[in-house]
Amino acid sequence: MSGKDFPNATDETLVRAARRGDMGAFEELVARHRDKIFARAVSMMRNEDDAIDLSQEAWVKGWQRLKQFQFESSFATWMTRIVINLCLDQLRRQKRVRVESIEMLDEESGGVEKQMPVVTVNPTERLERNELRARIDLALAQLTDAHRTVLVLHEFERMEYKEISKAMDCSIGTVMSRLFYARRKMAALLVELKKEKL
Amino acid sequence: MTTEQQLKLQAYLDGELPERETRKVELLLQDDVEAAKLFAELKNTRQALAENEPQIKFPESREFYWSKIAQRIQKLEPEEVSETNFNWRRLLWPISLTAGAIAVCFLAVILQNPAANKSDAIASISPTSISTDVDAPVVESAQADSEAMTYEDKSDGTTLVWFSADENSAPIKTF
Repeated sequence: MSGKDFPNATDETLVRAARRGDMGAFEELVARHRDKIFARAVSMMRNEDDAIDLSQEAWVKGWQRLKQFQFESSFATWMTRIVINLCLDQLRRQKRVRVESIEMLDEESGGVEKQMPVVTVNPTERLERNELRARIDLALAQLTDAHRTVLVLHEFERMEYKEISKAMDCSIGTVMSRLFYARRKMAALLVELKKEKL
Repeated sequence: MTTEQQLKLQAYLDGELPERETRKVELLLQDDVEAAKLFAELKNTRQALAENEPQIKFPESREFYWSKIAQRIQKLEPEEVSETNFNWRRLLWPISLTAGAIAVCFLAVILQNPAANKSDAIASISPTSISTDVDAPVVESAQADSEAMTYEDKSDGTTLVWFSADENSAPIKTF
């Protein structure tokens, strides 16, 4: 396969060519999916430099492990799992996803969210999509790494509780508790942001 | 509402509640206003997030980003690059190691046998032994015109040769 065929080739064809050592085919895969891989790294790390570095590391790992890709999921999903694992490793190294304070322990055991009043209005109603996305981004930035990670994996990656517990090396109960707190906190933050805007 | 009930409410929303528990949660939602409000809040948040993931603009050009990945791939050890490619260097490695070991043994035998060293500079020296003990280190003076001196210690297989062309000269050959 020549370079001019790459843009029209399927991911599967490109993966097979890359497995034979074709760097051009792999470059095309990077070009196609780099935005998603980078975005996932940013959403988890909240730091652009870390995200660039980890996303590049993910591509290098992807190249090394191409033989292990069995086409059971899409190539993009497979690559996303690689970058998520790298981000989780990095967060663990930085001790950003461990229980660090009494406040957090309370959150995880269901103490703090009990005291939060239920948001009865939908804070996202009648908002332009770009405005809503910007507010969600601001709210996500205010969550702890552990809570944001669970939210990202569940809501954006559509991972099940069991998958998240495996990836984050914690119990399903902890995942449920973190997700519950993260959602409640997000709802409260979105209301606050709406008030600030008014 | 207990924490357990709240988490079950959430699991129901996410489709992760076992079927035997579903009916209980549905009844709770019918009978408990607070539970219904909380369920609505969780549902709104879930929906808002699912449909509105923040869009992040990629900060680098395609070429620049790829060049850094390509560099890192090229720096990998050959066996790390791709297990599917047949690696000749992997095959040659034990052969070169064996050949190297044989060469070292061969050199050691040659150096231990003065008769085989006749063409070497050391062999051209006419020795004047200072010690006659076989195991003791031996210092040999060179012929007057060659201005060389040899130190040989058979116990640890060391031979040093000095050429005194320069009075500050250091040993130039070590075996």
